[in-house]
Amino acid sequence: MIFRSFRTRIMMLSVSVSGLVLLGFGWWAWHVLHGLTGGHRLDSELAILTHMHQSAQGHRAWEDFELALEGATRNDASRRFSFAVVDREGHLIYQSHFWPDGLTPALRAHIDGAEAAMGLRVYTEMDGKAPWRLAVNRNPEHSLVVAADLGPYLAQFDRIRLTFLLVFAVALLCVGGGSWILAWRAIRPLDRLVEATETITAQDLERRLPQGMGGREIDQLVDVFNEMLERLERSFNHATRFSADAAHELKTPLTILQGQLDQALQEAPAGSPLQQNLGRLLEEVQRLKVIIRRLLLLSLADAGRIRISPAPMRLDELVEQIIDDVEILAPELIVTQELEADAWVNADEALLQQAIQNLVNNAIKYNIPGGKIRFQLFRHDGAVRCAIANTSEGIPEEDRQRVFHRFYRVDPAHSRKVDGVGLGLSLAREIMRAHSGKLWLADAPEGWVMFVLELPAWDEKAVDVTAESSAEIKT
Amino acid sequence: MKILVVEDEKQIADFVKKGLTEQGFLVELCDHGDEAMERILHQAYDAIVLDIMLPGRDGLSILRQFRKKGHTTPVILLTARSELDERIEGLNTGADDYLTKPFYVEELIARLHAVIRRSSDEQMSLLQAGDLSVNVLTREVKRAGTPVKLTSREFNLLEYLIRSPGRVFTRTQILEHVWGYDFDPNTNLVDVHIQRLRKKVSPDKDNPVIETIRGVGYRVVKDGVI
Repeated sequence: MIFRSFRTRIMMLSVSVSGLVLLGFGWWAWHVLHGLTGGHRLDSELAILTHMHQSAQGHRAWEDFELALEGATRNDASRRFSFAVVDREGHLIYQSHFWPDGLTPALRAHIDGAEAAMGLRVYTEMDGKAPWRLAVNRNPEHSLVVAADLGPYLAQFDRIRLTFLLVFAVALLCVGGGSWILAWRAIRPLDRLVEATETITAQDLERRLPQGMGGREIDQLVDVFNEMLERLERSFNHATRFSADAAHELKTPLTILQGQLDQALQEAPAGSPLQQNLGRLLEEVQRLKVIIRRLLLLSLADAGRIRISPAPMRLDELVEQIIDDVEILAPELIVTQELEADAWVNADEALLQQAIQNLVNNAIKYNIPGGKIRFQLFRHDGAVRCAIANTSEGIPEEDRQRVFHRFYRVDPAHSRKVDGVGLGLSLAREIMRAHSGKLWLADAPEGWVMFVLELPAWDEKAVDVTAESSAEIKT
Repeated sequence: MKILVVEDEKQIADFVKKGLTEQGFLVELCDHGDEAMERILHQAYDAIVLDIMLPGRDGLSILRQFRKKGHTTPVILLTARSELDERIEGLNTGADDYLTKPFYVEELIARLHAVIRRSSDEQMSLLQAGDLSVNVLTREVKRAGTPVKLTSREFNLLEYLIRSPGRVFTRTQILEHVWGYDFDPNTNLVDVHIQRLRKKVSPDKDNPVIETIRGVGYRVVKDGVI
């Protein structure tokens, strides 16, 4: 929604406020102007003129009046006066040179009739095209009619009105534009703050926002934010270091345990109950090692410090190898595969293998008796996807989001049967992330569970081309 | 072959020494960083096994100093911290290899063989057991002079076992090393592969190269004597 933008709202607000102010001012100014230049002044001028000359009698006097009137208005194109004299019967007995004939019939209608009042009347009349302001001064002998052409006045007012509208529009545009720019400038530091904040992730909490992005208010915000980041970093590091330290502290006794057990195992009589017991103990040590290793890897992942040593490899070959294992590990399951060949990826083979093994392990463990596992590997939009699907009793809808959580198991009752300590999936996902890849639980038909992992395809040709071009540059 | 093992945890040092001695190495122990620095500068060793966390000077700084003075003796680092992290730092500092705790002593032996071979060009790449010979460089296997074709997994499995003849390996240990599986030791995988391997390298059932230790695991027969 555009109105949710602070900038737009600031602009709208200032435009409407200044619009209202301008409108009020314009209305007031219009009225003042109208009073000064328009109606009232003209009417009184007409009245004075008719008063001054109402007693004039005879052609001579009227000709003098006409001359005086022409003289008074010669230099002012906006004022055109003319006059006429009408006798008691309504006959035109004198008309000035510029008397508009169109006014005469209307004039008669006004002056006719004995009941028409004596004295001064002022009104507006059309001469067919243009409006005229008439002042009629009636005395018993005749009526003196002075007419002023309203055309120039109205034209003048039209111009004023146009100017008003123009000024109004320009002013509103200026206010709108100005306030938008102001708002934009005021918000700009916030935008930069958002950009800077977006780049800070759990992996680089040691980063801080720069000062001086905007005014004092923004700096304060940056300060507060940086303080918060520091606290976050401290507790985050604390948590990560705790699991790293814990894993480390556990490793020394574990090394001793494993080393001594192994030593004892080698020395025990071959196949003796003692040796078998020692073997079982070693397996428990192995289980501990797995848990510690996974926790350590996960804590590294949290700190964004899983470092991979990638090398180009064929994912299809790795998957095929794992499928061979599945056929030995779970011979009762029906395994189908559709693998595209030559699926090159750039990956850390040991870690990737572990991620896929974890998925396959789940596909075996959570399968139904006599069930199926289906492997698919195909290219998709510059990436290589591997889908591993298995028949299953299904994952409850509310648990689908949680399968990647640590120590999560679909069914807690399975916890003894299942040995993966519930870290496998979250670890697999972290491994994929470290490879700029993805792992997700895909939608699958009823009775199936499908995980899909995706890695950027490694383009042999692209590398070859660069190698060639650099070779060309050398030669 | 004289090896210096620098490790402050006595019990670890003990089983390492025992394991290495069994394989014919001459082992000296040292439990302090400063003392270790003295000894590696003044005595000649064929290889050094160096723990990173030590009292006195730590392993990485010993290694740095050692390399700065121009010594090329192979060094294997032992680390308990994050493997992926320290691997890079250690190898940059001049270590020839690294091993994360907890480790099996035969893993250390295999790596020692590898780095010593690398540094001295000595032909130690030929491993033998009975009439079986394994060349770990060319990955060729011969039984009584006849080449045997193995898959890469089978070869890795054989190489792992034959490196320490007479030593018993549990199935999980094999699974961890050869397959990289770190979970749920379903040992079928190992059993099936051992059976396949046996068919190829020692079809004579009465005289197997790879012996099953019931309820424990497998081992390669030492010097052809059970």
